[in-house]
Amino acid sequence: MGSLGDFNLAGLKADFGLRHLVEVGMGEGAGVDLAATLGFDHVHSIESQHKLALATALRHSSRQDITVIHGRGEKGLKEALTEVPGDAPTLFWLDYDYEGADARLKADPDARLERELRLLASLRDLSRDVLLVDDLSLFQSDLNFVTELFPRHLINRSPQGTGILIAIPQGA
Amino acid sequence: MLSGLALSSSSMGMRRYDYRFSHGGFRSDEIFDSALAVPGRYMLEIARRMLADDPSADWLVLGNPLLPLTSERLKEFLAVSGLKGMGIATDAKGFPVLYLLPRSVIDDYGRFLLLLSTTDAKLDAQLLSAMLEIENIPSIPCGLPAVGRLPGLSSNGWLNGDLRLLSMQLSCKAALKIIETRPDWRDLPFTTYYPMHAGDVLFFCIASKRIEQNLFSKQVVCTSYHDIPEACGSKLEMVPLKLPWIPRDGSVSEMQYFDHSLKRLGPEVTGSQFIVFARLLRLYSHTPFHLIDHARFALGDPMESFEKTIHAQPSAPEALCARPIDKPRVLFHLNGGWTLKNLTDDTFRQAARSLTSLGWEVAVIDRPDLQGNGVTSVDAGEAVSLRREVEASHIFVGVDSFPHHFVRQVMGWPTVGLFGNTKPTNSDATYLRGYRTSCRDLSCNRCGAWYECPLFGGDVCANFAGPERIVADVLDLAQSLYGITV
Repeated sequence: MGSLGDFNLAGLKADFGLRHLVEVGMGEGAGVDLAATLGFDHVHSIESQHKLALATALRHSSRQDITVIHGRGEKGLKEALTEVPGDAPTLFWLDYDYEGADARLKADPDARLERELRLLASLRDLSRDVLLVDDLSLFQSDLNFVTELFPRHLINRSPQGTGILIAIPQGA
Repeated sequence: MLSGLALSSSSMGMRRYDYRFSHGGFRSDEIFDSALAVPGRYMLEIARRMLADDPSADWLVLGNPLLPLTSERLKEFLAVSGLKGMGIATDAKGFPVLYLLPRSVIDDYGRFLLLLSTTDAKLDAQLLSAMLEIENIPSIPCGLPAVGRLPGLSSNGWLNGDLRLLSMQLSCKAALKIIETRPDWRDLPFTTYYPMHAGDVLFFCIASKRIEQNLFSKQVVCTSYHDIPEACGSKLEMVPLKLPWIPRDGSVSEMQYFDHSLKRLGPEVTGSQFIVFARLLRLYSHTPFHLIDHARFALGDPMESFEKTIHAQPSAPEALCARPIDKPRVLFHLNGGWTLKNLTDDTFRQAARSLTSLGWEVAVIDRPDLQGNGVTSVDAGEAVSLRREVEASHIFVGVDSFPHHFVRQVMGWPTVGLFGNTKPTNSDATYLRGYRTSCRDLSCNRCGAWYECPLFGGDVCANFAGPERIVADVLDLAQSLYGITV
């Protein structure tokens, strides 16, 4: 069970020229609070639990560069990606197992991750984006579809915490 | 009581007018009781009525609709205040009691009355001063002791349980800022603020298509419901609000949420249009009126006769399913948005078992947990997918919620409406061949509870029809519309 705060987010942003952050599985919004300080063009955060989504949304209501979307992953991703320019390098942070996560969304996480990543791939060119997937221990398969969908990325699996998959553009 | 005085300098006369909130009589001294209209909307209606009756009037006194005032009292308060020109008479602490306005304000700026706070005389005087470019419009005490804090529910039906009436001060302040900074303010659009929930957004959209005198051209809508205005052909341009909808548990007050909404919309949006709060300000269930009609009054229609109401004028022509009838299909929707509006799983299971045994296909919206034994769960989370599923069904059965209203009010599909602790008359549809509603007509309806039955306890509303009645209604509708027999 990791968090965005476990990363050197400012460093990642600088190294890969990341301009947008899209988070799936916001929880209580610690990631949004952190990202709000780092100068992203826009932060989109998706949360299926209404109470959690609303609390963070109201906390940042005056920030036009932060959007909290109440919804499930795919619907939320579709909504977020309508506002993320196709050529803007983006950090995707997918977290399915955080404090307060909806149990229904943790069912069959492999299939869910695959659906969401395929959706991403169908909606934008991912070649300049960075992908972080938290809680590798949740997944049953070896997630080969990640390699298929991010063919030009360097993909690492870090044992940190409950395991994190990191996909970064090669040669960046 | 809603009251006013019409003053005519030509005849040196004063005519008194007293109106009541209408509960369905549509008499000449009644004004439609809309839960969605701000007090300023009632002031505009009073003014319109008075001017229609006395075209020679050149000054109008408009009582504050928040207070139960008679015209007799207005006359006394006006005299004590000593107002001789435009101004506001107040209680001892600056709460507006009456507004003395030249008729030109109504003729030229009528809809701007909707922006009055009606709770802060100084603020309203500032707004009028800015609009009319007259310095220091006075607000003067009229001898009425301080009315004090507005109660959660007033004797004349206004709701202020979570300070929602103070939302109008936010509207007023935002309007004042626009008028003070934009020379083109007279040309800016009016936007109604009714961003949620799905069924209510739909009702406003439908209302916008049916009104004759629209004061608004836009509607603020939560992005969760972005598909609704287009799906029903709303005449109001959507202003998207990127905030999750307000919860119904009272944990966030309407005023707090409205404040956050204005911040969220940002200065570009709030500085380019006049946003009028339109969330519930009165108890709608005390009236026999449909929420679409509540919205129509709020948007500008006077709603002066029964013939104008949604119960007298169907929204959509009746439609039928084109699929063959050898395997009839019924689509259910069980979740109403709060616990006591939900049909219980057991009632559904019994009805579904009976219908499947009679050869029906039974589908249910977004309930994978109820799948099996001939029941399928379908995704109908957006208007497009809902329409697709409905068109594949001969009959729709739904609780008091968005799918029910969309299916009947927009698609005209054969529908059985299920009501628990809400009153059918506030959100049903015109009773034509293809529409009926089911409930047990218990006298406790409407209780006003959300999560727990105040009479029997528990989270089930006893007013819902039983499975046998639901099945009978489905079969009856199927026979009369499609000739399907058991």
